[in-house]
Amino acid sequence: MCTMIAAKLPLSAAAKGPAGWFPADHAYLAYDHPARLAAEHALLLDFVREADGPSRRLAVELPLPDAVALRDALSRAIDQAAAHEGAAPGPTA
Amino acid sequence: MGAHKGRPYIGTHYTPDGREAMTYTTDQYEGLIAETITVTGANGDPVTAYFARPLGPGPFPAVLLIHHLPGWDEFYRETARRYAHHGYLCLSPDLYCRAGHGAPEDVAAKVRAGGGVPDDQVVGDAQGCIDMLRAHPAHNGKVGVTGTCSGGRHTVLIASRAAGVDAAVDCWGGRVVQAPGDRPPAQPVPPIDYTADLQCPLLGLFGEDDSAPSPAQVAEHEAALQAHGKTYEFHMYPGAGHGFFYYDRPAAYRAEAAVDAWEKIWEFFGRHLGG
Repeated sequence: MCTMIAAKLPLSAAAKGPAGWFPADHAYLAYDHPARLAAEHALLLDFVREADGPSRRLAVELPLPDAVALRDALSRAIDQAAAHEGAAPGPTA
Repeated sequence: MGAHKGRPYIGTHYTPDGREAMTYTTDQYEGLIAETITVTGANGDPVTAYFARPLGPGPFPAVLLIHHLPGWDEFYRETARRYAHHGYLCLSPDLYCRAGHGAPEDVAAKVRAGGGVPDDQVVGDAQGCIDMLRAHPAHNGKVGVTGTCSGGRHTVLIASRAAGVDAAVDCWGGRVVQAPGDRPPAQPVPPIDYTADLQCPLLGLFGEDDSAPSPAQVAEHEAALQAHGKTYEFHMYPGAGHGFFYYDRPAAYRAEAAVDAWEKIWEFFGRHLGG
């Protein structure tokens, strides 16, 4: 943990990896050293099913500007989705 | 070659007082064995480790090699074999093995989400490795410890808290100095706070463009070492950032700095471990 910027939250989601779809029960968020992206640090986003072991993981490594753009796009989409549903969304897990 | 007690002199080696002893010649014998083993770590837990050593009876000095935050990956196997190639028993434990097994980056992701491995556990795992190395029949009685990134931080911690370390090389260890609010349960005490207990000479290799550790944090660590009268050598490479040894990461690799830093490691460990 070189930055100590990390978070973990429960989900009730579905994710698709190389082995197909799986129920994702947690998201991992961190800003730390990426495994593949050519950068010292990156926004690391994982969707996992913990009971299946470390390999059941959908992983994305984002440069910080891309992470900001994704956050803003997610926020806009969530607002639109909430308006579509006629209510503010709440966590499902 | 008889004067060298069977040790494979590969590359440039040094006598205990730091003088260049001998370089590789094409007529010398060399060989090594490298394999996955299990070592008893903290709390008596089995810890997976990669053990590389020269063939022959020795006596060989030993190096405990600690992996970085992105996990127990191929770089560490290659680096363990490099140490063996240079005449060291080299043991590299998987500090993340309790999190399960899979691709190194997958295991690292799980450990990272859980707040990292506890410092006490790391020290316990390291002690088990040091004890194993010291009991090895080909060992010369000297143990060094080194690591990169979080492994550099762990190196400072182990050299201060574990028993039986004769020399340590910190390669750009982040969070040796921890910010005032950075005291998570797994890492409650910054390694710099153990400076009084540092038991051996310390070599530090850093990049000027690194942010963790920053040059200011390296200077703070250096001041603590001076205040406690410790033996150390710090080298700061201009134009290098975090991970300048990592030839598999083109954005991080700095060939000139890496070549120079490796020479400093061979000289330092050669001098202090009686290679």
